[in-house]
Amino acid sequence: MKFQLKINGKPQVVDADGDMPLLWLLRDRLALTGTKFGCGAGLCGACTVHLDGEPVRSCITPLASIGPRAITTIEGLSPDGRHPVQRAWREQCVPQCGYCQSGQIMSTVALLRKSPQPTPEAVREALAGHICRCGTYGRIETAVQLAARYATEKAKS
Amino acid sequence: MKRATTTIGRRRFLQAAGAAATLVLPFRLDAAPKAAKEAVAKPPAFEPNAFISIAPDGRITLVAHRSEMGQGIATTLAMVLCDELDAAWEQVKVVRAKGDAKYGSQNTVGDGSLLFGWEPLRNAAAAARQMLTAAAARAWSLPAKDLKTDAGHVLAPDGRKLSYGQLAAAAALETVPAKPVWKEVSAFKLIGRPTAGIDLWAQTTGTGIYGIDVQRPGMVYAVLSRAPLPTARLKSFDAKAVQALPGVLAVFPLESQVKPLAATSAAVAIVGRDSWTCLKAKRALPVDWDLGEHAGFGSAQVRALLDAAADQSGTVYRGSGDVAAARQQAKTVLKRRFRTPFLSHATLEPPVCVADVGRDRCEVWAPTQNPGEARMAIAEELRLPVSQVTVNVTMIGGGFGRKSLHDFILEAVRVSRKVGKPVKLFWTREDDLQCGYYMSPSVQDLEVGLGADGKPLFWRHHSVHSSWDATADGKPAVPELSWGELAGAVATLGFPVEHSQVSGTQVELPLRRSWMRGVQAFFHSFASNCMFDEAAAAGGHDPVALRLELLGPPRRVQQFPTRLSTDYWYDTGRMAKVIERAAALADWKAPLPAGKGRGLAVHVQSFSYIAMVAEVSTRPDGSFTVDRMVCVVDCGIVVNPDGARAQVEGSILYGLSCCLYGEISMADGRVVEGNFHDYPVARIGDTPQMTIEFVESRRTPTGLGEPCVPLVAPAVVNALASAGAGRRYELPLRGLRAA
Repeated sequence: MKFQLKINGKPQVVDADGDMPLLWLLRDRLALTGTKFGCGAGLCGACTVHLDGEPVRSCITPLASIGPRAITTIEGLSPDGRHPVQRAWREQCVPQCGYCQSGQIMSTVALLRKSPQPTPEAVREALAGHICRCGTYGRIETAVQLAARYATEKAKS
Repeated sequence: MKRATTTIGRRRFLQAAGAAATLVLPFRLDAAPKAAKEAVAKPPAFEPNAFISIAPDGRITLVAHRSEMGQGIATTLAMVLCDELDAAWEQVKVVRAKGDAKYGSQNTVGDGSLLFGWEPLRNAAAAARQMLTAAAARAWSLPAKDLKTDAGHVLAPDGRKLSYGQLAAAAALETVPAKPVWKEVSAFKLIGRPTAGIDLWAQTTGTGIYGIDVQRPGMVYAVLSRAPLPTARLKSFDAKAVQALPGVLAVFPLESQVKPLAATSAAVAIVGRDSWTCLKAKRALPVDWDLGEHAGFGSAQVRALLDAAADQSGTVYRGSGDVAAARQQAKTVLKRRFRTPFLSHATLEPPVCVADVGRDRCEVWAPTQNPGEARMAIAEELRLPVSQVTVNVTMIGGGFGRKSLHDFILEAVRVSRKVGKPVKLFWTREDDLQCGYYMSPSVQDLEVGLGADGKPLFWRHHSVHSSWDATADGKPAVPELSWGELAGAVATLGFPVEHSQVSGTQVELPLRRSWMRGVQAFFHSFASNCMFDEAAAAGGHDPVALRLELLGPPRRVQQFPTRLSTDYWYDTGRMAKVIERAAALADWKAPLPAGKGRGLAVHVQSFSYIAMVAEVSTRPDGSFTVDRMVCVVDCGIVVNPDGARAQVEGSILYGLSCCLYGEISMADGRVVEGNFHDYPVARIGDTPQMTIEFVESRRTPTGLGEPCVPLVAPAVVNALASAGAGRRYELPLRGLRAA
């Protein structure tokens, strides 16, 4: 089946099975490997991307369900890799192995868009679906608040 | 300046202690003249050894020879090289080593990277620095002793300076010093400075290439439909059911093989044009397995086998005094049985490997913790000379011991050989949890007798579990536990008891075992720390005060016969110091409101000393939360304080996963748990407040990746007891917690 998709701002026509999860299209066909496979069942958050700015688990999102919604992956988050959330992640040295962090970052970006100054409880709720086996959660909590500050400063300037 | 010390004592010790540790000095004494001879067209880089290359244009490349899986070791090892070389950190490039014997052991397990890397790396860098200095001395006709080095330059007293790049060609002609002279610890500029990891950019932009991200021209994909047990045999499969599916390229069986560090179960391989094709075909492929004698095997049988072994006396590994006689004298005798389950590493990146097997060569890209040995295993598998095998180490999405095994690499190699194409073979989460390698379950029987003063008179510890030696040796079974596997029980004893006995019994179980972060100390420390806490309470003593009293004056104690330098004997002073500091940071003596509790655990592993205090809150409905963890560590010199802190934070969360949730169970000859819904791990909401401190030290750095993990469960369990929630003897504590 042919699908017209908009991925990281670019229109793309792809020919694939409608039941193929977006994750595998991104990784295997389009070489956008920043989005990770962790569980294949929407349980770990490593595959999180945005559809029209909403975080979704790409491992359980069939191509046929996407429609006209714009897809954003970690690669498309910022042209220069300097999105406030990415900067905050580096400032706090969040990643250990780093495997889950694309997903954590994508969910954080979506959270801050809706809630520019989230409470600690809101952060925990927004990221509850993400697993980090290295245990970087404490730094993630700090980095989210730092990213909120960066974003606010940017908006003011 | 002091000379490099010899390593012999430590190496012998670790062999005695059962650690997989062979130190090969990776010095290439002949490299410099050879490099100089071979280069014709362009000026040669200065490569005094396998770890350092300085190009004439000034580019400095440092090689991290151990695998980076999130523990920050690539950054840490490069920092050691850079500081001893006196190069500027901002200017060096750090690259990952491929698998190659010239680096010595690359097996990144058992906390060994810094412990065994410290000396050879400092020697390598100090040698290079001395050769650069000698070259400058020759150029200036000045004595080398009058010259200094800083930020990639050699400096003369009169202010002249030459960069390492300018000196590279001349330095290559200098003799490699046989005994390089190290910098003083006080002269370190980079070591001790919090330093960001080398992969931060790649990790935050999605540009890092993990094993699962590797793509090669013409590559196809593969998954395996796996036998539920290592002993299961393939009865039948219906290839026709999936061969016609679009994109399916091949379906064929793989036999089980038992090899050192690489036992693979029987499987049916499905090769396809992409991951999704393979996954769909795997779901649709009918496969029938013969489970043989284990057809009805389940968790009840695991428990019965462990209990039966615990009721036997076992092999005595260490003893003192006369436990039987002391039992008669004891005023109180406590006997407790502790249990821990099978655990899975559950690395978030499942095992995966890309293999490209040609007629007379093979190249793989793998998230391997053990590239040197993987290379040899592939060469043996394909009957190729080792020189024809290339093992590229990718970024690793979590290792925890699982990726030190070669099974997933050999599977990819076998499939690539069969289809004649590059293949990416990946495991699903279900494969990983149900068909992988596991931390052994255990029963720990503890018996403690208290004298009239309420202090331990005798201490007996009987450890029952499956040996990891079967995995290491490739044998299907071993007769008994190795001495090294009991070392955890010995080390955590941590105080002299006149009458003591440590014994063990190996139990054969039908799942493959592997070391996992924390190794056997995970269950040994759980049992002995919980037992100590209960014994202290029974004797009317505060556990912190009793620990400190029993440790006695600061001294070094030889826990078992070894030729090890006294530097590595059990140091009661270092232990006391971390306990005192942790107690102070946790306000140990301050009263707590009802329902709250504090618990202490102490531990020595990989020569590092740790004390941990957990603070918990219990609620009337039986649920509880872990509010705070205090951890004080003495691991010698802390090379990268930020990375070291991250290791402790991560260990606390890894330990909490095991304490609160981790359990692999069996029913009908299969593993029950299939994904993170029924094998839960710690999530962000489980994260306690953490207070972490390191003891300032000038000692050789010791291990940090593992030793904090085994303290988490006992600290939490002891805190629950102090909160009035009763004592717990079995992990995980699932069910105690609010959903």
